[in-house]
Amino acid sequence: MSQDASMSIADAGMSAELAARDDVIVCDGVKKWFGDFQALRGVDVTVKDREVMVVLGPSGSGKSTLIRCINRLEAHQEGRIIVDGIELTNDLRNIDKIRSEVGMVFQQFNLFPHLTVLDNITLAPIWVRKKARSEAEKRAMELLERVGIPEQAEKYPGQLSGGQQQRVAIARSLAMEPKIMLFDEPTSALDPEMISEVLDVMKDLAREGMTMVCVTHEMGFAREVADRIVFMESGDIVEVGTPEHFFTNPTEDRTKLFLSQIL
Amino acid sequence: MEQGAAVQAAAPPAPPTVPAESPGDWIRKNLFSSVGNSIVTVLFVLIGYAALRWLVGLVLDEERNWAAVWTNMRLLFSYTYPADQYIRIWVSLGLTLLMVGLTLGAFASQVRLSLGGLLTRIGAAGLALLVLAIVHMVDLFGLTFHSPERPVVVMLVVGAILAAIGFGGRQAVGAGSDDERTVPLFAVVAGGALAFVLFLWLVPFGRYEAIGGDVIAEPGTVNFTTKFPWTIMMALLVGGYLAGLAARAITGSTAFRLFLGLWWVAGPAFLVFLVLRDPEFDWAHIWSTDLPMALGFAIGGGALLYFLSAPGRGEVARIAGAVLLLYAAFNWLAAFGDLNLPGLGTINWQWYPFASPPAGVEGTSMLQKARISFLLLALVALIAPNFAGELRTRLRFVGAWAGFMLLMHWLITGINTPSTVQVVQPPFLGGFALTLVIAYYVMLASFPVGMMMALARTSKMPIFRVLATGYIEFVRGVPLITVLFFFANIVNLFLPNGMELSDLGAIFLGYTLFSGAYMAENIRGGLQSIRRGQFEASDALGLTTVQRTAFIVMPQALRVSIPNLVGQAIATFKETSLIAIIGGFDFLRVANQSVPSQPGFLGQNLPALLFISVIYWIISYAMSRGSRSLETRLGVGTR
Repeated sequence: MSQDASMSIADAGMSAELAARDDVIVCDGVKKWFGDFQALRGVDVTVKDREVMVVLGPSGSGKSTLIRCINRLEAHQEGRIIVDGIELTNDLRNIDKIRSEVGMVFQQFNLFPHLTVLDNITLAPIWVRKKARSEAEKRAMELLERVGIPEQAEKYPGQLSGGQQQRVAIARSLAMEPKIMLFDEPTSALDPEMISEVLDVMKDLAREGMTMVCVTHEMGFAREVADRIVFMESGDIVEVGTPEHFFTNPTEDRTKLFLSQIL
Repeated sequence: MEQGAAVQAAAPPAPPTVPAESPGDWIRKNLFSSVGNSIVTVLFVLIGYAALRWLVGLVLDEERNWAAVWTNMRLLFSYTYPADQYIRIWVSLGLTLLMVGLTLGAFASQVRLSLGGLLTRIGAAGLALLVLAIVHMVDLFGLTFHSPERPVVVMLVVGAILAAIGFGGRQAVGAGSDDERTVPLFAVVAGGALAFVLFLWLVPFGRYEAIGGDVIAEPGTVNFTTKFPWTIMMALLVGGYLAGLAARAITGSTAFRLFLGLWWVAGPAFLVFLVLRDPEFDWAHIWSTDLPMALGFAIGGGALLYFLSAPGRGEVARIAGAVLLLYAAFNWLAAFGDLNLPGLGTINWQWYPFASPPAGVEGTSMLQKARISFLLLALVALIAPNFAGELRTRLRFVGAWAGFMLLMHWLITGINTPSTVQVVQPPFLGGFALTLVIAYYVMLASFPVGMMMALARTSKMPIFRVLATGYIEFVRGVPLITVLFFFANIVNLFLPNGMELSDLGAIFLGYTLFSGAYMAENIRGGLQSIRRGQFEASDALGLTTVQRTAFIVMPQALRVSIPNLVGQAIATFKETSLIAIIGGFDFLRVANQSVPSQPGFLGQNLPALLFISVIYWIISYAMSRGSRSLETRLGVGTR
């Protein structure tokens, strides 16, 4: 039972009900270097089925690196990452399989500017999931309906506002019917008045039971939606807990300092 | 709410009205704003005047015998293509114009041109003619006035008519309304065709002179053998356009687009090699050997590809592709016949059916087809897993292979069959036709070469990178003439017995590899402009590398590279004149060498040179304009 020590950190703050669910993402001692700089210093964390986990921390703390490792946009060098029962290794087939199960939303949206909104959404379902075009388009329109912009289907990303673009990006990820959604600071590049329209979509998703890992600075969102909050600094997980514990009664000094600076 | 309503109710402040600028004001503000500006303006006007006088003088000079151009049209455009076979040229041109019309109808049905802009352009052309005529008549430096000769009178009259139509029409549709009033492209094309036909049939060329008291009037229009076929050509263009509009309404399908795309790749080669060249087919041989072989590759290869494209056969397909590739390489090796290895003795290939026959034995076209087909089958087998999926996808893939095989075997058979067209000097094409065919196919073929090389050069795999970089830097460091010489003279020394590179083939291959290296660098520039987020987003969606390149990276990279690619295409078109150096009679060489060596036009090379310059310019300018409109049309997504 040598894993007990690490599991205790990884499972911290879980209710009994949450702890009883299946593990969807398991990070076990994940380390990552960029050249000489160590971005992740042995991260242990477990994300449960239908859990919403919010990752907080100052910039440069390794939050983005962590979730980019989960769908292997970055390769970790030590430790293990297991997503939906498949371990991430250099085997390309595993990576493609995991990427089609894990949706990702980026800070800069990264929509394909030469394709219409509809084509942005249907491209991967048609070519990766091998869906028929009509079926993919029908699903895409449902998703656009869900994120509230069905009337923009024939436009190009450059013709939309930032908030609309990010909602298209979410729809594009959802079109692959992922089991897990990763959000990498989805509202950081948005004008303030557009943030809520994106957060509303994310809240809906959370309510419908999507497993989500969100890197964000939106404390209100974290407080309202998160099952657990992970606080990172300098590539380490400092504290894990429920929103209530985290915002009202943090144990670590660094967490208190961070909260005092941003709240 | 009430506040908002109040704000909306209040009339927005009107923009300050700017009084219209008078032409005098504009000139003062832009041309004579300062002493320096005034000097530049005066100097520029004087130099421009002198240059125009010189140019018009060059054209209207008494010694210039323009009959050298008008009587040599066929020579300039098709060189010595035999007159009794000329129907073949009309058929080719007619089919091409029909397809141009069909393509325009299918793809440019929505394009509308601004009526005001069109009329302004017509008026400006008329004005330019008037200015040229007046510049020719008025000698500012000698302070004399030439009475106009007949061509100048024609210029004045035509210029006045065009200016009146253009500017008058502009007034009639209303100034400043060019944004609203548009005409469909079809109307412009049809109108242009009609104007051209009327010009051919109605304008009374001929002699009109007054000598002494006698007035000579010998009206005569263009030769019937010229104006009749051209009328049919214009009818085909317009008819094709109408058919394209109709076909778009009826089908609008990918099959129709595929047909058009296939035509623009294989159609011109079909016209050149099977219509213009008129091969003397040996039908008995075709039925007994050529056709069975083509069918064998189409059906046998198709069956193999059907098997390999089944889902989950990726590994099998890769192994099969590698084995076939080795076999194809072996075939090429065997083609060299007996191999003399120093110290190891001779390897005898004669037992092998695909080995080249000994020197002096004919009939290797079959071997070439087999070698090429095996090579292609190997390459297609390697990509077969990309077409794995439903039955329909696989059948479409196999069908494409079979169709391509039949087309390729047909073309190769045609190319390898001796021509019945008797020409003075091979290649059988010459003049503008040669220039156009070479330029078209070099542009078409160097594009994928450039794309592959650009991808290889930016690839993560070191071997690809080194090979591509070596190729690109080597070719860009060597003059085009050297490359052409190499392919025309030296490559044949390395080819096995029974194989030889034709003149056209040498030009095409050498020039394509040359142009491809430049294309590669242009496309690489575009590839580097793609942001990292695009790669990450594609990866996060689970797209494979091939899909990412084909759907996300390349389209964006090509869009960025359009101006450079078109610049390269224009350079390719103009530099085709270098094929004269290895013996081809291209447009420029015919004008500069063949025409002025005729007894009637000895030394008269200026008229033809001026004439072909105009043709070169029109085509290059059209490409340049085309690229600009393409950029704006594709730019929608990147705003």
